[in-house]
Amino acid sequence: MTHLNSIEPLAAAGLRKSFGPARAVDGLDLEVRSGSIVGLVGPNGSGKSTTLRIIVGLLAADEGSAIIAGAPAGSLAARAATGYVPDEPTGLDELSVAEFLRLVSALYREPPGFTARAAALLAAFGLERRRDARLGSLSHGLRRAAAMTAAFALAPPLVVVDEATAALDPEAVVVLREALHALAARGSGVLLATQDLSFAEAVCGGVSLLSRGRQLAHGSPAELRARFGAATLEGVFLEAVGRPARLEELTDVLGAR
Amino acid sequence: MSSALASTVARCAVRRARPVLAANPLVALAATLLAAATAPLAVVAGRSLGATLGPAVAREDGIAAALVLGLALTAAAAGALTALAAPGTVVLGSQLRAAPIRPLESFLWLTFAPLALAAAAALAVAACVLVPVAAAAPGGAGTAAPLLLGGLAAGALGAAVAEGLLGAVRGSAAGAVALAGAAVVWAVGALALGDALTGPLGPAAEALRGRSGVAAAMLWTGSAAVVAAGLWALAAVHLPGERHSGARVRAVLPVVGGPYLASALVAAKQLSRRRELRRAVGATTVVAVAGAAVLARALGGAPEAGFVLGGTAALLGCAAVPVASYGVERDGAWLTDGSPVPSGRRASAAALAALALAFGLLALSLTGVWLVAPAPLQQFGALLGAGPVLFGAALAAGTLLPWRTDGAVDQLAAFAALGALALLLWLGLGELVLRATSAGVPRLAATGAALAVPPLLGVGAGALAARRRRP
Repeated sequence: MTHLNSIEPLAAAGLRKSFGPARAVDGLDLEVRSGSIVGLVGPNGSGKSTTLRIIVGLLAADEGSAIIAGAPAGSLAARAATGYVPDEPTGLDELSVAEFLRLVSALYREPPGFTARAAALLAAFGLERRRDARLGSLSHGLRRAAAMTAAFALAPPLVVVDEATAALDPEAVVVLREALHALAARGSGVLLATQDLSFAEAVCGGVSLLSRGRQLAHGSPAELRARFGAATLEGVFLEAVGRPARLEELTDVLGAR
Repeated sequence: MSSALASTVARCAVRRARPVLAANPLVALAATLLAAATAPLAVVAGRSLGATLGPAVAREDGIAAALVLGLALTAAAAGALTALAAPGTVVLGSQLRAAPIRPLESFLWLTFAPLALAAAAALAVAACVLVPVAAAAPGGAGTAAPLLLGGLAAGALGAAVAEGLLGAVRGSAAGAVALAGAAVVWAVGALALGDALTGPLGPAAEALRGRSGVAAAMLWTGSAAVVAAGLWALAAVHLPGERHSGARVRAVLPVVGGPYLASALVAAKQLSRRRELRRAVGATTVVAVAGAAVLARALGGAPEAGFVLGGTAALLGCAAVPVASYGVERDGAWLTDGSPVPSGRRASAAALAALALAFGLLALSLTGVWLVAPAPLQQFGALLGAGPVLFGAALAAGTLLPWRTDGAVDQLAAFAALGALALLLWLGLGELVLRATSAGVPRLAATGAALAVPPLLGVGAGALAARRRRP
């Protein structure tokens, strides 16, 4: 595994990806340094998940490059340097949590300390007594916690989390926040996508605001608030992306007897 | 890592099968009995075939070549179909597809190993048929070995061509190389042995006729199998992009015609939008038409042999649609099982839609085969008439072992169950028709009634399973 702090976890430039006529990612530049947590926020369909899937090697960019810990995205070295939590973990429903973690450890060539970190994460997420439960029998939130346990226990140079807080209960969100801070403190870079703006504000040192595949703004939450004259990141979001259209009409129609 | 991948796939397949079998003990018992009876039944079929084919091989020059080509065509269609349906790393789920797994390891343990196991089982059954056939031919029982190796080579060539074509379409040089390599394998065999029709499998036909040694035939067919497997691996390892797209359902529920028609239309849309099914049916149709054209040209005066062999391959390819029907319908159960429409009615509508789709595709494929290898209309009707038996068995097999895009072992087991059920229905209903006609029932009525049984069985099985599924 690549040594932390020797090479930046992620440097992406000019990423473009289209699906037919629809441009999902349009010239995106992104950098995640060791020890930093960067958040991608934006409305549905703004290209967050597509960007993450390009970075972890599940999609090939049409243009641009993404370098992960010195290796091009999608290469074996880049994959080995990345821990990925998808928005909806699926597959291998018949494995128990413990078997799943053993498989992850084997696929990533048994990283040193994996077992101890996995045990600590399982305990924190409340999954310890469900070690023998099948993945398919877990609730969506617990399934995501199991996926996070696997990805975080690798302690790779780059951690990528899609829809970070989706389906997690408040306790698990606290665990997630602490785990991300701990990973960043040991030198990992974290890139997450989220719709939870208060979480992004609390956790991320840098935030990229995306809309229609383009980066509208980037900076720390404080910088963005100052730039857009907003009190919260939600205010920044609404200023940059635009307020929901025809809200009054909606409430009139829905409220009509 | 390799052992982890292999054991994970096997463990998941066993754990998926266990509750299905536990919930249906009678079906499990019937499947076990059927599996146990397959070998003796195959031997009986082989002896019966041998009694006819053995003397014919000695008498007619073209029979041995036709036997080898028929076997090769079926194996190539099966190879192409299963290679295209194999899920690859999709089986690992959304998270671990991003894991650092070498493409060759992924191919070996997630595609090749399950298919090789299935091929071994199929070869064992084929051996039960071919050994008695070969024993009755001038070459003797030993010539079954090169015949089986020839089948293996043709299966691997079918997989290499299908995978190579897919890669080449996506701009992969390795895919184009695999395609060219497959053509070269055939051309080298054809040039060296002087028979363009049978290519490297020619020595197997010659050995069956007792005109060449078994060892030389095994060397040719075995070498072709090894090279073909290498070409398949080359194309698969360098296949750009994912093996399958997400194949999400994008159907909009139409309101015209009520919920029954709406369910049938949605099921038809779901099935026609499954990329792996489109590939499977397309690949077998191409193989069927090309094979029929080659045979019709080679056999000159008897193009109907090409029609029968090509049509049979097309029939097998179209059976993928009803096999997948219940599994695809079940994928949408999270949404539809909560609706006020009874799940049994919806599932039966989906099964009927799958039957209609399969028959439509079969009619098109058979027309394509007929255009290149014209045959009497009775033969066209006979193959179309085999549809209800095969497609009904396919619906029932797909209900017993529901189709999963990410489950190679499940898909193979469903196809195996289809083979066993179709054989059972074919033999059982054939016997019933004979008895009914000897008891004075008009043949047309007896045959019509018998042909209605498998589709009803298949549709009913799906409806019952869906009703049990509902909370």
